[in-house]
Amino acid sequence: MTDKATILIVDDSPSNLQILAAILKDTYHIKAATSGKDCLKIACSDPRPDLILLDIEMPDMNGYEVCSELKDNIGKSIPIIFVTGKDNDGDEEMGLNLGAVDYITKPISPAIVRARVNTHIELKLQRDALERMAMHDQLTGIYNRHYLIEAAQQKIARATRHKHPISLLMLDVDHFKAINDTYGHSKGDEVLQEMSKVLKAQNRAEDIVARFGGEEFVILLDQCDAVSAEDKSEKLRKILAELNPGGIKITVSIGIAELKSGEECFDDVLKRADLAVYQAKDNGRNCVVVTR
Amino acid sequence: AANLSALKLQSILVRIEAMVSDNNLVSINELIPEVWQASEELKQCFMQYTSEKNEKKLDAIPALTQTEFCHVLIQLSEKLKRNDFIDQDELMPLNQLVNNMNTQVIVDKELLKLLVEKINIFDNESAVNIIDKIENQQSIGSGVMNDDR
Repeated sequence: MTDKATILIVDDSPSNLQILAAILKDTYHIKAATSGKDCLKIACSDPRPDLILLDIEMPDMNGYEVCSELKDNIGKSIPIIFVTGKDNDGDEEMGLNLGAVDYITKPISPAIVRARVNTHIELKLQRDALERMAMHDQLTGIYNRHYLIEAAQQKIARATRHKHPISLLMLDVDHFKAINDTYGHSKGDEVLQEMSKVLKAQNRAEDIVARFGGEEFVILLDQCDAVSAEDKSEKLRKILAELNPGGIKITVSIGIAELKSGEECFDDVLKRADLAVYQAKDNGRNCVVVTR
Repeated sequence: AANLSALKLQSILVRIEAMVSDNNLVSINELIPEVWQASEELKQCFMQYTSEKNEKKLDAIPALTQTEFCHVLIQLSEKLKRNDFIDQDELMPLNQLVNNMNTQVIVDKELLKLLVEKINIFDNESAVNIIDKIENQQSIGSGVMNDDR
């Protein structure tokens, strides 16, 4: 909708809101809330604000309470700047201790507000970019091994707790070294990029598709048992066999392991899926093997 | 600031600040009516200044057709639902209608005035309800939203 960073301004006084919005509206996409409750609702819905300017003295729920709630929950990564008439050191210290990144006292100076907001928005966007880089594979744009391990542990813990199935697919491109040796590494990269797009498109939003290493991919299928995972893998195998990424015919070997509820951790499932891939390679490649 | 009589208010407030420092409560009380008067004068000057400015701005924008008016309402409603800030410039077409400066659109002016008020105080839920009401009136009034330009 917009490339501008989004700022949520929260103040129970409409005129204060109008003033702050007027200062920032040309540079940022502005959202407004007149209560703490509305602030929490907006902060937790997409697109999330990149920064919150938060008044302290508000009826029902004051700024400190809103800040605590955000920092304890879903809004913890959103920087908060208090904009308030409370100008003593104790209040400022309390605000900063609650996790706010800055504290501006009223009456405000437009130039100062703009400068401080710009600084914190820049820092937030840099942090977001770093997070993205840390979680995604640079070549293919899908999740990387680091993210997979972190997210899979949470998903497996949830699956164990709620006793629902979860399966892991390990997918390895057959004879990938030969592709690199024959056509060069840039062609090999192209193959991986096209494959990744297909893998991502063929899976649900709740599944995790990650590049695990060189030509190895892992897909974690939430709420999916081994039987469904096998169907899914067969479908993927056929699609990839017909894809011809970079004009090259490829095949893949896929190993599947379903979590044995209450017995296994991520590493255990991963090891079994890895062994299944070896089995698939031994079986002549371009096939799917399920470990039971 | 001088043109808006703000200096008068400022000078009284400076005197009050000094009296507070001296703990001179009696004199402060005597000055209070002057504060209100200076404040009222400033308010009047400010309102006159902004209304002149707004009228000039409203004169400059082209009059909306009925269809364009409906589109403005739809866009406003979407922004209100997303809690997006609505700039005063975006409200100008509505203000133009409220001030009877547009004869092309038939609309309940009081309802429209209320809508602008609700938007300005960020009462988004009420504003969206008012837009729904206006849209209902529009569809009942015209049957079909044709471009009448």
